[in-house]
Amino acid sequence: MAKSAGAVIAFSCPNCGSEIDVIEGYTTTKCKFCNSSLLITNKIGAPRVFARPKTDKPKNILRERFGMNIQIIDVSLIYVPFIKVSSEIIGWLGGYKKGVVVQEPTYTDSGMNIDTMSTPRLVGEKRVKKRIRRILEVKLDPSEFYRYGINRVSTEGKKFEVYDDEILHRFGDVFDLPLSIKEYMEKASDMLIDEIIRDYRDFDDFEYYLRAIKKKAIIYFNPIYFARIKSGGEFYTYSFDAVNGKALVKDKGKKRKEESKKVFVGINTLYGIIGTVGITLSLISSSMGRGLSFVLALFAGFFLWWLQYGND
Amino acid sequence: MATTDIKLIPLRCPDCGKDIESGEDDLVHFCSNCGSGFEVVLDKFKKVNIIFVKPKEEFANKKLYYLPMWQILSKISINKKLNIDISQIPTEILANDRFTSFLAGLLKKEKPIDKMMFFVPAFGVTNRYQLMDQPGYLFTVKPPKLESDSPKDMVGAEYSLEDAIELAKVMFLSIQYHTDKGLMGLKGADITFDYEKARIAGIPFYEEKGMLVDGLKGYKIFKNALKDWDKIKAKLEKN
Repeated sequence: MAKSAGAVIAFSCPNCGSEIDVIEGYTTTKCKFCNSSLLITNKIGAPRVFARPKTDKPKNILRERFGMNIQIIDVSLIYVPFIKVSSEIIGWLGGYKKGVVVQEPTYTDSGMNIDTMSTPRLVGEKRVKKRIRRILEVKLDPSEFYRYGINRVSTEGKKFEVYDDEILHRFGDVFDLPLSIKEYMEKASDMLIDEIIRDYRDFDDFEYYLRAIKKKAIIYFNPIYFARIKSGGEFYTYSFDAVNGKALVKDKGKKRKEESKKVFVGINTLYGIIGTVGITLSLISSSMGRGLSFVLALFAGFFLWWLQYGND
Repeated sequence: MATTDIKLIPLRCPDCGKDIESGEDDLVHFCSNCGSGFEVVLDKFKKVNIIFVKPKEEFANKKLYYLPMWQILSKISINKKLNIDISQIPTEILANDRFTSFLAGLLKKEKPIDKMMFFVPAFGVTNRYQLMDQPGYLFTVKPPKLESDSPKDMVGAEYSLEDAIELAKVMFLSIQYHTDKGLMGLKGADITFDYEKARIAGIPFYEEKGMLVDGLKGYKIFKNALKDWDKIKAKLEKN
């Protein structure tokens, strides 16, 4: 989790209006045109930025990748957030790991001599005492869409803009952050400290005092296309980055395939049932009155719904 | 409705209005014109007390560069009495009567509470910094006498007060790191730090053979232990 290459965030200079590209994480910058020194401020403790999708024709991309004969069931764009937190971890650690005494048989010209063992030696004993001052970075996925490959989304080479709710919703839905930025910062600090101490878990005696300082977070909203497609008789979920087109996950939905088969193969049967139920209801309603036929219609509706979705 | 929680604002001194040139990672900014300093907390300016320190007379004719250090007064309470052998404490700490008596007093008291002044470098450092004796640590152990000087141009600070308080705690708890006979068990001591007041001290340094030497005690830092020293030097000399 070393520090990654920075993304670029586009701003307008408040003095001359020129576009200024700022490297992520910077707190100040300078306008190249009017030479003014500028301070980057934010209200929530972490700047929120977004990237615009480079394509509004995701179906073309899907057909390019999977062929013209695929069936695109649905495709939608969702802005998925991820948070990059960098921090300097400071402090110290110290510990001791007991070794194991090893004694091996000795060897002579005629082979192994099991009667004489070698001098005992201590193997694997470790003593550590370190000062720590390290800058580390971690990427958090608040949506937890791991199975859609969100961890593969990168900021490298992308241009981000200051978050604007209105613009984002013009392109698609937006996944909101479930926790506060403070909670994400704490989570990230624990993860970074854990990264340092994990090498010493098997130590017999271990003490540390590590703290995360200079914590910086940026919340990126990256547009992702999520698609459900049918290709070669198989059903897939497919996600790709809407900025650089990078494929994230192509997941063969085995379970979905079986369920879908049930729905799609049995569709004629279903129409048959709907027709039969309709005729039966009209016959019943003429002989038993509207109230009862309404209740029966409700039951029939529920039965049809159960056939479609009851096992999801 | 459009939400803009991040914006660019001109970096000008809130006291005298002069433009301030700061480094990309600076969190505390100093005005070379009126000598005031301020932190930016979220989108608000927060004034920071500042003292520019006069160098010792023998260093006054050197070309001096001012680097910021946080000076933090903190109340320390040890909430559980510890059985610690003071003789385990390393010589550089024992050499200073004030610090030794502070620590010894703190550990012997029934309800150990005392005040201590920490010096924490606020300038950006590289990993080289941890390989040497740190002026912040040495200043804490042997505090220099600070005499106020007129405002100087100074490099911005990369560590906020909040970070500096954490660094001070690490410095205090690192006493056990320095002991030769293993760990002293301060970690399990349940120590409370109550920050009382803080200011930035602009400490004069001069260059000498790849090192920066402070103009108060003569402690040295490798030049390459400072982040972007050449850039900082060029900026300070330009002004």
